[in-house]
Amino acid sequence: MGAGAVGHPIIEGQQVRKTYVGRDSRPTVALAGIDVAFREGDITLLVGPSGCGKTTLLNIIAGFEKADQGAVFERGTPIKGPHPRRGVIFQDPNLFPWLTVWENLMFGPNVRGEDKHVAGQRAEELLAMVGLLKFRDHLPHQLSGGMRHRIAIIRTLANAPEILLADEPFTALDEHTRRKLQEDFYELVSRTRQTVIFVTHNIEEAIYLADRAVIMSPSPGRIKQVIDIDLPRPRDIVDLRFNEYRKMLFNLITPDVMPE
Amino acid sequence: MTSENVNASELVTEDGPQSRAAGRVFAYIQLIDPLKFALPLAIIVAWSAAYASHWLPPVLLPSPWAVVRATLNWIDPSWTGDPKAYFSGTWLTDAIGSSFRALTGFCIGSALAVILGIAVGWSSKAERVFDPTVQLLRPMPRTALLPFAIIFFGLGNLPALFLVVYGVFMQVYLQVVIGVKLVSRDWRRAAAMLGASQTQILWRVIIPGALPHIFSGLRLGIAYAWTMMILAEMFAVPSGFGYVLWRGYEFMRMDIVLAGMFMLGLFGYLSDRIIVMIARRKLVWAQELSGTQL
Repeated sequence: MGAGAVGHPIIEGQQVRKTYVGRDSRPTVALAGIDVAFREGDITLLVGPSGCGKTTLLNIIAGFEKADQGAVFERGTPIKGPHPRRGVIFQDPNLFPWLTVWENLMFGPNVRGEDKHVAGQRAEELLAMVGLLKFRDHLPHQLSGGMRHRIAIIRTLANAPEILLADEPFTALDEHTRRKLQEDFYELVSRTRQTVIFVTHNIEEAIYLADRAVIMSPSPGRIKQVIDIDLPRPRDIVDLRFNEYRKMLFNLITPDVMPE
Repeated sequence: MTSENVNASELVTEDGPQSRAAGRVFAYIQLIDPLKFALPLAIIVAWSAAYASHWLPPVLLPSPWAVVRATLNWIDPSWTGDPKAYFSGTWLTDAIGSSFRALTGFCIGSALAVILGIAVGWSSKAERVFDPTVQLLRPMPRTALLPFAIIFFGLGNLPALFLVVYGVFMQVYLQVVIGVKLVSRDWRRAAAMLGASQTQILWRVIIPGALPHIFSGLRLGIAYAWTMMILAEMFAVPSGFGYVLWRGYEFMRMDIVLAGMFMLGLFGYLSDRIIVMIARRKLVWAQELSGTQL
């Protein structure tokens, strides 16, 4: 990391279009041919109400899904499928339940044939940072929900991805656990100036984490506005300027919320 | 190590080794759940009462004791001194022969089912090649293959093995396919984004993730192995539990018929327990995930 110039687009989408055929066989336009760019070293939040295509965009960047038209490029090369350079944190922790915490952390380095010593040191460091060293030989179901999310985050980081993609990882957690995890998350990614693309529908989460917020709107899914969040860190969620951003994003997103 | 040894010997000198053994037996007895034994006990009592009341002639309903005697006669005729019958002293040969046919057939049939089931669940090409044929054969009762097996393979181990392999395969195959297909898409995605190749995903995610279904298939399969083995032995093999059972019918020996049935139940139960024991150790995660024990 860090080698490329900070601020240069590392991921770029051109005319990305994706349509799903629903159960009533009516097509839903998840992404209506959008152009989007993500800068290296930035934490970019994709924010918008459900149906705005933010998760679809993330899945295309991850390589899990393919765009119907247009393409997404990583440093100028079209993305064709998943790659360990682009690590993903899912909505559920999604740990392998038959592997211990340690085996989960070493899954990526092992399948990639990375040096065990180097990867092991990195994994141990990450485990220590999230304070779960003594749980290394536990199975995932023996941990609490918050611990599982922490392990899921560092499992992806232990694989040393260049770009970190996160799909609403904290949505299912209670408020206090979520705040703590947001802090931990920022601490983990900021020390290496990790490039992050993070999907959320939570305005507060977006302002707390983002260097830049990409506001999306639904039917058809498109980008409404890109806002740089110019607040000092660590951010205070009850600060006056934080609230100004909150109001700005709220006014942008609320009119787009569709009745279910 | 040393301190533990010292503690142990101290314990022995304090209460004496015999009282410790007695304590252990007592602890074991406390583990026995009386509820589990209530129904079998009631059935034996009702059976004894029915026998004593001469409700049915002894030829149709022998006493429990007569069944025990027939079993002993079957194992070793010198134990009871009862008159020799066709089954006297053949138990060991029968047990070895039947277990060999059932377990060998089970191993071959379930191995084939696991390999083909994983291939079909994993690759849509393999599914198109194999699955229609299996689905066409599956509704046909497996026992209907008996005449075919005897005509084709003659008498002996071969038709029995064929029937067991076929029956077990059909039972296990479906569970393996379901297990592989139900492995979560997100686990596969997680493995892919961590850098796993398709082969690595198969070995490290698909197969471990499908294991709960595979084991439930194996349990259904082992029961079917004994079923098919018995069928084959009744008609195509001149020894084994099924042979003893069928000759019992021909000689109207209800005592050995019941003894053979119990023996089969016992062997079926024991082989099922072995699979459950292995499953319990291999599937710690799945049991704790669901909060139940296999």
